[in-house]
Amino acid sequence: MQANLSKRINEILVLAVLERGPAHGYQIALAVEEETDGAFTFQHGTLYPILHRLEAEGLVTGAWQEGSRRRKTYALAPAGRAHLEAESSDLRAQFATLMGFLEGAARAA
Amino acid sequence: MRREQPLRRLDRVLRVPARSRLLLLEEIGADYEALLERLAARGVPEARARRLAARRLLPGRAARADLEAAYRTPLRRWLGQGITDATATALLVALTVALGSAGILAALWWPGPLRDAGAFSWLLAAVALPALANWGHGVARIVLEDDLRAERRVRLLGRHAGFAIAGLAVASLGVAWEALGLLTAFSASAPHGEALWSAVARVSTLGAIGLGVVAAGLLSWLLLVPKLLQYERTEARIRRVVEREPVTEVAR
Amino acid sequence: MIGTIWTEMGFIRYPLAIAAVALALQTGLAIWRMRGPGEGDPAGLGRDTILVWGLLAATVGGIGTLVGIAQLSRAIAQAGAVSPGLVWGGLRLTMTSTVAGLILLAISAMAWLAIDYVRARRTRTAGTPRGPAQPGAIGTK
Repeated sequence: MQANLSKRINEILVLAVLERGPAHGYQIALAVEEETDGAFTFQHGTLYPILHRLEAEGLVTGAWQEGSRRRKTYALAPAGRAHLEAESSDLRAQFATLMGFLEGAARAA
Repeated sequence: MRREQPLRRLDRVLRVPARSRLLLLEEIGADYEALLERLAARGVPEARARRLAARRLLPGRAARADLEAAYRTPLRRWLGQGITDATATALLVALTVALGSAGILAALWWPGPLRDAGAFSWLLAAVALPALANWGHGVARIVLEDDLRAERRVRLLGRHAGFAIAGLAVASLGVAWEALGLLTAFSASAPHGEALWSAVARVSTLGAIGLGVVAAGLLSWLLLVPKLLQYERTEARIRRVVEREPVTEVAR
Repeated sequence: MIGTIWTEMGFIRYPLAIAAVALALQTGLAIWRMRGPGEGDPAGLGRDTILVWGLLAATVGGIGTLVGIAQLSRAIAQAGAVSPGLVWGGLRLTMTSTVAGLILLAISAMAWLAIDYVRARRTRTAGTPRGPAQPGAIGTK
């Protein structure tokens, strides 16, 4: 359950960043870290397996940009947008339930 | 002592197919370089920037394991998680040798010049089977991992060449030995007619079989070449990607 | 003359013909890789393959000769008395495939040496196995 939740959160963070527009891998990592004030970070290259899995599942698309050095850019696919919406509302509901439970437990204590 | 460049180290430890490894190194290398530039623009000292960028972007053990799982070949995926790479390779090699042994034993058992040749045939089999195991090992790695690093390629081809030469030597030795035996017999009582020509036929057939084994060795080498060439070219591109990266630091 | 040699070689002419065509293709490919875009032939494996095809042709030619001698010998053994002219003529026929195989080996060796020489010259003049590094991206595939 814990591993699954962590995986879902990582995916939704990536998809949420890409919802604003295409980005390189390092830009996604920086955006997540800076906008969550370091609460969520991608360390030790954990971002890349996530990105590649999302690409394999068709939730994001990857494209190479030619230049002095080839760079890969990721963009949110239509299936990814739908998945993001579904996961967002699902996680919101789960966290709302969790917060409700904790508040009830606190009141009982 | 100079520390190993991160991308070079990643290339060394990452066990994914060669083509996928090239794409990963290109992607990670470009992101690493871009992040360094971003951190430098923010005034982060270079050494610290390299450490920060490496910690964020360079795959650690867990991330590498995830990538390796994601890029497994279809056969490796089919064999499942419960079997290690070494075991899978050993199984494929054993299968290759078993099939080869069955073929060789059938040829030795079947009535004909090979069976009549006795020790020569067993000697040829003694060269053919390890050659088959060596070739099978290369094929197993190609099929299971879709990669064969430079040192393994050199070993595989070097041994294969050695076995081919050994096969040629054994074939030549067999023919020479048979011929020597026949000439010794003939020098005692000069042969004529059927005896002589039957002996010539037998020696020639043995020679043809020996050369046939050598030809099989050469053909099996040629079968591997297209894939090995692809790996060499991919590794040359990987070297170019990795060489773009400057040395991180030098520990004195 | 070529038609006569082709007929004289017997069944072994087909593997030899395949080896000859493969040798020509491999040589062309090695030259194209040397001159064309992409990573070329970094460790010379494509070039070495030319030699292996030549060795295979020589081996196949040898097999053809030995099989021919074996067939001839069995036929003579069964026939009993045979004129010397027929024997030597038969043996001459069997040698054709070895000669053809060795010619292909010689051609492959010369092609290997020529390509190796050109590669070495390019390395000396440009400093890399394929010339100066190309600006821009590393390939498109």
